[in-house]
Amino acid sequence: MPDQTVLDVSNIASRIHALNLNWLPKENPLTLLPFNLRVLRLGARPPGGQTMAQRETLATAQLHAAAATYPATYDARVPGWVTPVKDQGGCGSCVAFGTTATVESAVRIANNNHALSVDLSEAQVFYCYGKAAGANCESGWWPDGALNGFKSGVVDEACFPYHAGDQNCNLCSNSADRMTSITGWGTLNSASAMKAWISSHGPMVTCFTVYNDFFAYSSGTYSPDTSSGVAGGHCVSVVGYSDPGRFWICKNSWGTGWGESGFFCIAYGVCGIDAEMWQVNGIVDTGWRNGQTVRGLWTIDQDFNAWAYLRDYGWKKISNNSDNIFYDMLAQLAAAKAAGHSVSVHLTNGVIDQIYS
Amino acid sequence: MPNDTTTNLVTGNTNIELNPNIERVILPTHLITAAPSHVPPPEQAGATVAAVASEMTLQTLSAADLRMLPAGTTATPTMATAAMGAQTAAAAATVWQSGKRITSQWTINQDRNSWIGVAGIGWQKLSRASDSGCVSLTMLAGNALITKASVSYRTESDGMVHEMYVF
Repeated sequence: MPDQTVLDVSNIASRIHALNLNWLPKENPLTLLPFNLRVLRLGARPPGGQTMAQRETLATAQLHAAAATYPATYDARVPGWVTPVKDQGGCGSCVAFGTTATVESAVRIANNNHALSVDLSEAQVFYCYGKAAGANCESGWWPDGALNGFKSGVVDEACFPYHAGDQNCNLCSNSADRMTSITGWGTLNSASAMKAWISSHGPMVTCFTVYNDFFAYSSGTYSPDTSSGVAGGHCVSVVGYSDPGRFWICKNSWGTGWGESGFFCIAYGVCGIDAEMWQVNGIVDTGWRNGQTVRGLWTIDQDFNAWAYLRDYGWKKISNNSDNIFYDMLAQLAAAKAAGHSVSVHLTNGVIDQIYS
Repeated sequence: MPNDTTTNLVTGNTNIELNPNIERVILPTHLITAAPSHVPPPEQAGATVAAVASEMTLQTLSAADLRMLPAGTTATPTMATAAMGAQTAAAAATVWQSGKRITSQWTINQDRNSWIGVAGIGWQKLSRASDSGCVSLTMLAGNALITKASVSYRTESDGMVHEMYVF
């Protein structure tokens, strides 16, 4: 018999007051869900016999790790590296959302464009790569597998839109031309190294233990009332931190109506939030860049060295595989710039090697 | 001296102070042999190619403008235009010119002998360091002339243009 109990937010508020915690609860659509549906908003499942409880212990221990060089506060939303908040709905696919959000930020950073429209397919991450690894909406998953999927390539959202609920992998017909890939990934397990990475390279993925009172979070710096009970494991993207406030800033995947417009702050060292975080090493700059305009050209008195500035992707080198390739492409890009003509450009490792205009 | 501010190169072309309003860009390290380090200014709404073209004026060369050159010499452009002003200033060390307009081009049937006429400055020769470099500079200058684009370029002590942005 499923647990039909909804969360008693007034009781949570009383407990927060009694424990002198520094956050505010609020009734929201998730607090009104029965437990069995509420936990479907989670979906982190550690592999190989690890438990979320072990990670909580680890996180507390690592709070005292040696300091690295990083600013006292950082918020990746300020320079615009964070893409819009999404909603995983009633499927334990948080791993796909936490990793995709982190990769999307890495794409913006790699292209030095805070306005870059990048929306990658959580559906492919979960219903293709996750499904192949045995994950489903009820079982949950783990970031290692999702990031390995990103190494193989993930299409844009329009190629395989996300809907909550187990389904077949169903990519669009030209999916091969629409992939974004990462060069690799790694993990960090010192809080100071995490802050150094986030402030210099961008957001990271993390997974943590969710206690039932977390669903009612509205604002402030969350610390759990552990007596509310463990609901499960959850993965999100960590987009910033504050040493003065001693909290991480995280992007959740429960829509903008939850928390602080979809984000939350969580105290250092609680819930295993900083036991381990996953970094994206880089973005493979290969694929079609459609609908661009050429906003600038650059050259120097070196053999076959000219670059074009694409509106959304910045400077890209023109192929110098041969003299005629180089001149043909430079002429075509110069003409497109002169005409204000839209171009579609194919890049291989950041070098322009095919152009439609 | 040109009216516009010029700024010396400080420590190589990735550290130039070209224009304080132009944002820096970070490039992948595997692509950095020599690479652009500045990005275009924000796009201006409503600016169209047609509008730019309507501002352009064509120049007709008279017979008197054309000069025969002795065989075996390296030719230079000798015709000035009203827009260009005086002859090019004496070359200093590395100098960046920012936000310039190219008003003219000149070439002749001699290897790597291509010049640009710059408003407020005069004729400047494009670097002769390589065939492709000279052609690329000429193509960018041609694009800038057609579109009346803003041009920033680097000259060295040889007085020639070695690097160019067209925005």
